[in-house]
Amino acid sequence: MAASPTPHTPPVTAWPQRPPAEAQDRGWLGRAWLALGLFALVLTGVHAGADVVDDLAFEAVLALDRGADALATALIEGLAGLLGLAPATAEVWLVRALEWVDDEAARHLGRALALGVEVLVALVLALPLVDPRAPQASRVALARALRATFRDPTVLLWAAPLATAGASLAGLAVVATELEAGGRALLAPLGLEADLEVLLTRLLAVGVTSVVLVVLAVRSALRAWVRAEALAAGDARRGRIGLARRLRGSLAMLLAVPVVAVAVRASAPVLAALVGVR
Amino acid sequence: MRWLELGAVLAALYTMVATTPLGGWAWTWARRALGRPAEPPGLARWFTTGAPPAEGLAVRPEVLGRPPTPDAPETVEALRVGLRPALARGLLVMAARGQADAEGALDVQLPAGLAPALAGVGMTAPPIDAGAPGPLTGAARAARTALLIELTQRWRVRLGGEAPALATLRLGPAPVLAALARARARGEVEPTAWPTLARYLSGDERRRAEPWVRGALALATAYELGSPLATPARLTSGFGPRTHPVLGTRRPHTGVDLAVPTGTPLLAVGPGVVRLAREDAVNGKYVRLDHGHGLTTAYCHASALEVAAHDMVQAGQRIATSGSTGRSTGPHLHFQLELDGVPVDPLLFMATLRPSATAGAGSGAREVGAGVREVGAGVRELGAGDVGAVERGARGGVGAGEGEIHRKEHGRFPGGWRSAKDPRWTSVSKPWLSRFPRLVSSSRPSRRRAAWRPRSTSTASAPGVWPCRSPTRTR
Repeated sequence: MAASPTPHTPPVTAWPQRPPAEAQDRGWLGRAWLALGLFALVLTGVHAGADVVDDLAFEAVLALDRGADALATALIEGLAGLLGLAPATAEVWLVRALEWVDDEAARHLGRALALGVEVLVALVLALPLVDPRAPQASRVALARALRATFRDPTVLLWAAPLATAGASLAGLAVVATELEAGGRALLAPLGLEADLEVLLTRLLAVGVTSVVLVVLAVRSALRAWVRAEALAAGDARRGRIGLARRLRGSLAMLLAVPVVAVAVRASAPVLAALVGVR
Repeated sequence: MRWLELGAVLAALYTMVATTPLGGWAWTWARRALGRPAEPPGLARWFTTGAPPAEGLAVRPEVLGRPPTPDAPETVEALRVGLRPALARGLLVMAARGQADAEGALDVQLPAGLAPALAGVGMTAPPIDAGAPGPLTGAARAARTALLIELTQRWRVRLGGEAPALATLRLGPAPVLAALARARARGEVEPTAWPTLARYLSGDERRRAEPWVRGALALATAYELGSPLATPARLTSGFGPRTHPVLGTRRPHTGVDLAVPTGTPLLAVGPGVVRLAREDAVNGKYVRLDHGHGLTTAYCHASALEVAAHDMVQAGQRIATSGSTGRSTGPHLHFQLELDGVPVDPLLFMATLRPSATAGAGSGAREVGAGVREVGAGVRELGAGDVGAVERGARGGVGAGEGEIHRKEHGRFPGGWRSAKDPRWTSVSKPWLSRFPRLVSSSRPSRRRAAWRPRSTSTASAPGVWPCRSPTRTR
């Protein structure tokens, strides 16, 4: 009879799987708090590229409206010819159809679309990171993720951590700017010397930004990487279901990556200033 | 680690509330839940809804839209110190929070916390009562007017821009100087432009200063708008509620319709950036210009466009040719003016350009006005960094006379009216449809083209010959 194998903690490779008990170091409140912080950071970062996203959303609404107008015109004119409607009646129907989405409605739709894209991208990037079933970013998991990234790459494996890191960096730039301005407003009543006030606000901004970098930004990128590897490993063994989930993930990244790229580009001057590059 | 996590999450939440729309809404709801006063209304609301009168004061759009006249005290004071008269007028309107008495005198109030701004340029506040409510006496109004104008000019010279000077009146010198320094250190191209400067202010500072700065600059730009046409044109449909010529219902008309023959050059009323130059089914070929600070104009139903999106245009530059494209019953220009996306009556700002009975004095005044603008041009901050959010497409009404029904396909305007009893209007090839009277237009009463008569919506929008720029006027 063979000896029983040495008991060991099996690595977390399949998805989903509840991690070991010792890894559950926070309750639901702690996880919700972290989720809120990650969501806030990623949403702030994604919003940095809002100008471009607004323009694109507006162009999309206009294009849809143009197509709808053309379709409505063709339909109503066809119906008018078919039914023998009076031209004035057809004109009334046509004007009502064309003005159904008026200027204000188009404006609201564009803004709603842009906001929806931002929130959706933030949810796609931030919420999965706080899933209690997600594996922790341990050394073993990170090493496994590194191997899988180059040996068995997938869209999610590359895009998720990069998009999360990019959104976090863009958010860090905004946090630094806001903290510097807010810190000065906080210190203004003290009546300090100008140089001292500038130094203190810079220290405050750099300090808090560093904390946010380590606690939220780096953690989110690493966890996204490890999670993507675990998902990929699990999907590889699940056939068609795994393929469908891969496709969903790829589509989500197809939306998230361009939005994050735009946001990082918009934040580049501030990031360069933070790093010290002019 | 938990404390660090707490701090990091708080910092991220603070930034989200200060910079994102979602956070802004959350902040607004929180303020409402806590019973805090609502944010002051934006500039556009003064021209659309007004405010209830209080102690003899009221928001009077016709007063707010009145450009500076050469003999007005604010114009004289602005010329004396070297400030743009239009900006001086806009500043006073914002300082008065839009309130004016029955005679049209602005109730100018000094912003709170003006002492640091005064001390920063070596000025002292005159002994005037800064807190008395209600209409002011002439002396108090003149003193406050002079103080604000001179203070703004001094800060404008010191900071190198109008937006920083206006922000200083609201926030004090320290935040604005710090924001400018940071913007310049980051290599910003236009650090004195408000959109750039605002990025380097804190969220609270931005919220406090933005309505003030943008409102004053938008008004200053609006006061200096020219005419979209070089020749006089008849106003066929004014701004405001009207009977839709096709639908027959009361609908707001978001601009003014000017009868011009096809091929008439359409001119930019002010410098700006082309936001949209496209065609759609309702507006036809149209151009929308962004003049900065939330002020936009639209020129609809053109036959040809001569600019493209993102082009920079100058005041008086030809941007399109008039026509009758889109849902239009004849060649005309639908001209629309918007403040922060809210359509306002263009004639409110362009009324003083209307030629009066004393044409000589009027044109002389316009000449003086042109000289005033040239002398007080000051720093014009319009540029790529100065424009606001992307504007959406303009949807104008169908251009026609009041309550008229016209036929576009024959393109006859103003002649060739067709009565509703015309067989071409009422012919129905399917007799069973006659059971549904709403589908048959013969139920509509016959309308004859009535003699054009003036509307009586407001004193400032009395129609007449569309004002045109004096040919000898220079800018």
